[in-house]
Amino acid sequence: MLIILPLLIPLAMGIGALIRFREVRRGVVVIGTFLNMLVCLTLLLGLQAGGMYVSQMGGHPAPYGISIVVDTLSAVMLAVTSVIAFGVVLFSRVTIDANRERFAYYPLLAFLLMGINFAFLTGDLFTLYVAFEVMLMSSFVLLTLGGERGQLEGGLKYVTLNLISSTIFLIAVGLTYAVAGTLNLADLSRRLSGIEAPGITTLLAGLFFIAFGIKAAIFPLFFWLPASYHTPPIAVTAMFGGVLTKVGIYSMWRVLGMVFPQDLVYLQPLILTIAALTMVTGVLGAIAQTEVRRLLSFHIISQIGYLLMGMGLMTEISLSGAVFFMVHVILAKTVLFFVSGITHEVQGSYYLKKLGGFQKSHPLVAILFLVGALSLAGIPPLPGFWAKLTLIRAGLEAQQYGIVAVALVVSLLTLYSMTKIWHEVFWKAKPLDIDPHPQPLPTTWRGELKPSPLAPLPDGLQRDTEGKVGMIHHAPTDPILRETLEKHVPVNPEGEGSEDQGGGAPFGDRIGFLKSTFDDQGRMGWLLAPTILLVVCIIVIGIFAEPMYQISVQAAVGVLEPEAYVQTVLFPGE
Amino acid sequence: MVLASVEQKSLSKAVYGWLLAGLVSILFAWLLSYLPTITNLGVIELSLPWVPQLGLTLSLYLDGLSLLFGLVILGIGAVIVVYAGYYFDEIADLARFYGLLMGFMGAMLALVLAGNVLTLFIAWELTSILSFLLISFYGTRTEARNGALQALIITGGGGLALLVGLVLMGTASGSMDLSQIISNSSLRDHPWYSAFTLLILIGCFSKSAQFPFHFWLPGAMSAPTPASAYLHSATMVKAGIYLLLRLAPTLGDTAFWQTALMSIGLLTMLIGAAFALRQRDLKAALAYSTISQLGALVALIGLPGEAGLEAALVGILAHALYKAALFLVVGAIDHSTGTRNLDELGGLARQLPGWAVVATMAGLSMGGLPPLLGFVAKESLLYAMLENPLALGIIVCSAAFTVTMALILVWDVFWGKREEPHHLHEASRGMLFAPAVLAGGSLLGGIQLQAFVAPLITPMIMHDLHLTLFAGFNTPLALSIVAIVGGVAIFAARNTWRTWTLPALPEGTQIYKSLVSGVEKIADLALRTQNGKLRYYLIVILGSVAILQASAGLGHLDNVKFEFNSGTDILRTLLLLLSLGATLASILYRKHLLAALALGLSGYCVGGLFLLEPAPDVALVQFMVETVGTVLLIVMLSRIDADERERAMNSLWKQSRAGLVRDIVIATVIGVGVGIFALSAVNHRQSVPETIATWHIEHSPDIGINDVVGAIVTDFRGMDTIIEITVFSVAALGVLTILAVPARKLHSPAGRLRVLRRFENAVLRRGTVLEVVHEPEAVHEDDKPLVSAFSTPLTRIMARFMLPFAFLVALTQLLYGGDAPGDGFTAGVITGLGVTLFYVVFGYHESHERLRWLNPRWLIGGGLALVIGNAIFPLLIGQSFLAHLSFDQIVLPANLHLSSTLVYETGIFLTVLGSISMVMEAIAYPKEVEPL
Repeated sequence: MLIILPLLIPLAMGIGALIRFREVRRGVVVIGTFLNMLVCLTLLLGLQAGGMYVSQMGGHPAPYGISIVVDTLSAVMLAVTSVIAFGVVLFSRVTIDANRERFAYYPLLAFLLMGINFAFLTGDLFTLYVAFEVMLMSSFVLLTLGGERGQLEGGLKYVTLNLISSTIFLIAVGLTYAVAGTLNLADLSRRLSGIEAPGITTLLAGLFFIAFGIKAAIFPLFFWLPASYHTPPIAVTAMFGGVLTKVGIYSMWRVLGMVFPQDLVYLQPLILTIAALTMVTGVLGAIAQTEVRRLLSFHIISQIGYLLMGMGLMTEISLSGAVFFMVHVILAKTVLFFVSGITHEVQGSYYLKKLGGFQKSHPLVAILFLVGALSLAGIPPLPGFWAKLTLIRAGLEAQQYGIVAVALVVSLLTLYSMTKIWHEVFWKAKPLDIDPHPQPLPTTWRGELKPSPLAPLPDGLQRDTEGKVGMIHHAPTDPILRETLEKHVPVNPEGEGSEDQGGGAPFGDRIGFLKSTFDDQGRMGWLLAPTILLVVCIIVIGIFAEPMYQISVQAAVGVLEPEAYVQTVLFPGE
Repeated sequence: MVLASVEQKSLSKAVYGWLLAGLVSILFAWLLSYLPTITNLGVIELSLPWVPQLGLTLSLYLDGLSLLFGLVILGIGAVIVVYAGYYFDEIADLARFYGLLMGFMGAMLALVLAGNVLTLFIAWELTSILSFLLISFYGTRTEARNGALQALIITGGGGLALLVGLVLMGTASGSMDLSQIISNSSLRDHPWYSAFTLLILIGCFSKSAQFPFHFWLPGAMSAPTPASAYLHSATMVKAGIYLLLRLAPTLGDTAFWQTALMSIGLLTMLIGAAFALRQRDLKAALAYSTISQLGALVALIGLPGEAGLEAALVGILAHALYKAALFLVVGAIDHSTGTRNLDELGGLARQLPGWAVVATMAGLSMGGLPPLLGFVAKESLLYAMLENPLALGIIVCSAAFTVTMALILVWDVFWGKREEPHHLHEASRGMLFAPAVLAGGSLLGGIQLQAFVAPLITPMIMHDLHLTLFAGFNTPLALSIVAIVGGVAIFAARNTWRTWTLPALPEGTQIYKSLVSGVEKIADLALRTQNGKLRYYLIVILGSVAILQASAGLGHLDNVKFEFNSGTDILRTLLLLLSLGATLASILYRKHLLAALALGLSGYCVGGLFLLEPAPDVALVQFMVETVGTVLLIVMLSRIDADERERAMNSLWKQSRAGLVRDIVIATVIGVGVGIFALSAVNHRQSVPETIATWHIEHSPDIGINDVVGAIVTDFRGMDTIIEITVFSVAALGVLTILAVPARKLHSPAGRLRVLRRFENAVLRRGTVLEVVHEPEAVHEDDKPLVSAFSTPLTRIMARFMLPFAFLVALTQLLYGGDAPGDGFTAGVITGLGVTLFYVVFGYHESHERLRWLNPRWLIGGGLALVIGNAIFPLLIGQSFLAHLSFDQIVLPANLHLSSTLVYETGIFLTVLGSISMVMEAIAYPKEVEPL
């Protein structure tokens, strides 16, 4: 009963959130994700001593029906996802505008969570495909929700490339059924290990690798990710960036690791090469970016390389390291997206050039960022360090020095890139806040609005020397105003007047003013609470690394030695 | 009055400093109390497990070496804390500084006390991070940020090398515990020896600013001076020295070790001393002189056996004392004159007499003049190197340079003449305390060598100490005198050589910068791959698939066999060819309508293939889906402007011949590949005994469903279906949201007006007056049928007639789905088609009026809820989730069965109907759609 809840709660949540009243929707999702988190954590705790939960849908014996299986790997993934989902829902409360909320934002989020959970729960290859469909569809709609031009452009690329992945996945599932005559993962693992013609299984493994590889955004299949992830609201990006690509990696571990282990050995040089290239291109792309969301999106790709490396080495210690890495990277990446959301809320930009001064104005945010960034860069004693240490040890033990060297260099480059954000957003003085040449109001407005000459202007507008009203460079803090103005004013990414001013903060008062108006609305709490929650998770995992490591080992062993899985799913009585 | 409050404020800041220093001193005393124990026992160990699986313990290893370093860290830390209390003007800065400094002190202590190499590494990295945060303490200054980043990257990069080195060493020795590694004497013979030693050396050299990594240290001088004095001269930069000393007994004494340490150390020593003379910034000069001293220490550790140990330990103490003092003096100069530039300073002794005395004392120690500790250090350095003439030469040169530097610092700044007096802002007297203590330490250490210095060093030295202030007239003393005389001579000639233009050497900073900009350039290049063109992305991704297939495909050709058995096979072939042709046509047609129809035809052919299988259920669904898909596609197309469609089609076909060939090749390889693999896979199946389908066929009557496809869809794999209809609903929501987007609405006059109103309200709420000058024109109702050509009286009647009929068909499908083709999904699609017809014929408003009872949102929500409820219900009565329940006791007419399947199918029916209606509503609405 318990193990079906991670599926039912989001589904019920999705239906409940279709109800018209705003507060009901919000309440439903907050409570729902909280319950989901409790359930998932309970599942994880229940597996501390080993073993797994199995349930057969409809009571049909495996492998004929659909099996739902929660082993340690699934439980870890479920647990960390549930925490992220809860955080994202809290974060959505003030960052998602009313319009998106009215257009089924929360139901879509719930269905997305259902798809993700389902992917982790299922013990059936075809059901995994179905789960991917839910994820794809709801993530696509979430991505384009709001219908801004950039969103539609990004969404088009996202959906096209991901549909190709789905098609390849479906073909591979079909061929697998043709070869093995079964779809249950445990059954497949048992049957395919005895198949006479390994050539066809290597091909199947290759197809799955590509299908999941597109989902996971590995080199050279990642294009859809940087093309789309920076377009939706930051809460959506956080959910996607934190969890979505990781489902692809999880499926690789699950399907390739459990069903095609011998082919993985055969594909190892290829996988390690791709892992290295994924790390390098990702981090280089990140270094070249000046917009926080794009920058972090490229980091997602780079981190995927490490997860792939863990699978490529295919030893117990390497996969344990990869599981640990997975947990860490999901948490750290979401924290970083949240922090960039907070800075956007306060200063109205995602561009490094236009942000600044947070270390003085919001020291707490600075600390939160620092924890996430340093963990991502692998600085001890944060979880990222443990994960990388384990992966490096695994690489050295397997005598794959090349990938170890790449992993280390990329680690350094990650640190470099994180430092760049730190410098620009937190340390640098806020660049000249008020544009000396305010942009003229959009043409559609100019004839329609005539400010009274002496009245104080609302936040976001200002007069130039001639008394004409124009927009201040950064967006105002009032949500409705900002939303409205953003829609109407073409965002100018490389705006002038945003050079690093150096020395003091000429507009220190202004920052203070922004802060106070912002905080007064009580919104900051909704942003800080989920961020703090995740940061606390990161710190706790860093300090109590041993239990986490043991769970990772247990998860890795479950994949590498599928006998227990096969036994529990197929022959529960014995 | 104001003055008093300022005084009070600075006083209170200083009080914090003194209090904190008191705490640190207590720690210092506590650590010192272990000295006798260590002298007797040698080492104290303590161990707690942390992450045992990774070989990580939280252990403590306290021997003479860690004790010496610990005392330096705490002792110098205490006086720095006092100094900082006077140094910072802002209390907030002071608090932040204390926080970082205490964190650093803890990390540094952990580093030297760690009994496990991984714990040591953790502390090592933490010191790097805290140093980074301290260097860019004034983060608004660009040069501070750049210096901090450079330091972090260099030491961080070295740290990574160190990590690998330590892990390899730990693996080689079988334990990560320091005590075990130290006691392992076979590491020198391990095959990995040179690898891990090299990596560890890189780590140590980068941390301790050895050539070629030295340049980060001068760059780090943007840190507040107390931090520079503490981290970048007394403690952190010695971390590398500490680790070298720690590992020397295990790894040292090999040719590799000696060569590496001696050459790098001496080179660094010379470079540092020489470069220091070229600096005009006092702190940079001190930084280079620190580099020089660190080089000397490294060279000493490279000596065979323990020959250099004693000299190294004295050197560490001496350097920590005088260099920290000098930094603090420079800090005070900066504080009171506002400059650190040598060209602007001079004759400060009159105004700052106390500081002049302290500086002179520390400076003489640095120059290596008796009776100060620096002299002892230099003597023992020369004594240790006696057998190496080249080294002696370098050392004497460097020593001469250092004497010159010391004279510049002391004479030029304090005693030399200067015309106009400085406008001083008096440094507080309490500030002098810290450097005075340190300088006093230099003097006391020199005079009372045996009382103060010897006990600290004894625990580490096996043989007798030959530390003396004056050992008679011997070679070291002679060399010392040479160095001092030489130094004075160079100093005297300073006005001559200062004008020399030296050949421009490649500066480390330049190399670092070009490296960084190189990385940035490569990064920009890498970003080019992300060029925003979907076609290119598709080529890369599909190309990868094609390559995989091509490389794997040939081997499977053997497995491909064609067998024609019967007449239906000919029919199949025909259908296949037709389908292929239709697909090709859909690509080639440049009229969208025809292309859509061709696509539909292709789908129908596939349906036909299913029918021949024979699988009527699947075929029916295929036909239905194909129909509704084609209809929706055409309706959608009809809503796009003809010109726009034309333009899209043209841009689609705008491509080169080579591109066309490439695309065709990729498509063909993938298509043919999948075909070959499918055939090959099917032929492999013969080796597998049975498929799960066999069981499905046998067991479908058990659940009262004779139609096996129905049984699979609704029962055996019912879970899939539940999720799939969710996908369906989400897709419908997606269409709704994309078509009813707010941005789109903004372009309609009504939408713009609404936004304007909201803007106005927002403005009013903020108490501002903005008036709307004129309103945009009124909303145009646009209520034409979707496709006006279809709206004839006949079609109107047909549409009204078709919908009830569709419901009737759907009902039979639902009720008899168990035994005959058709199920809830088909039923939903059929009624959906009825609704579609309504919208096509009547247009949005009239359909909305007529189909008032049709609320898509309720249908979807209700349908999903019904399905879920049906799945959960068995759980409540003790059966498994989704279990099949039949109610045979309720007898119904006309051969009807009542079972949970019916409920399930009804739920699916409602969801599908709701989704299609939602899509139609969204597509059909002329301008905007009511949000949910």
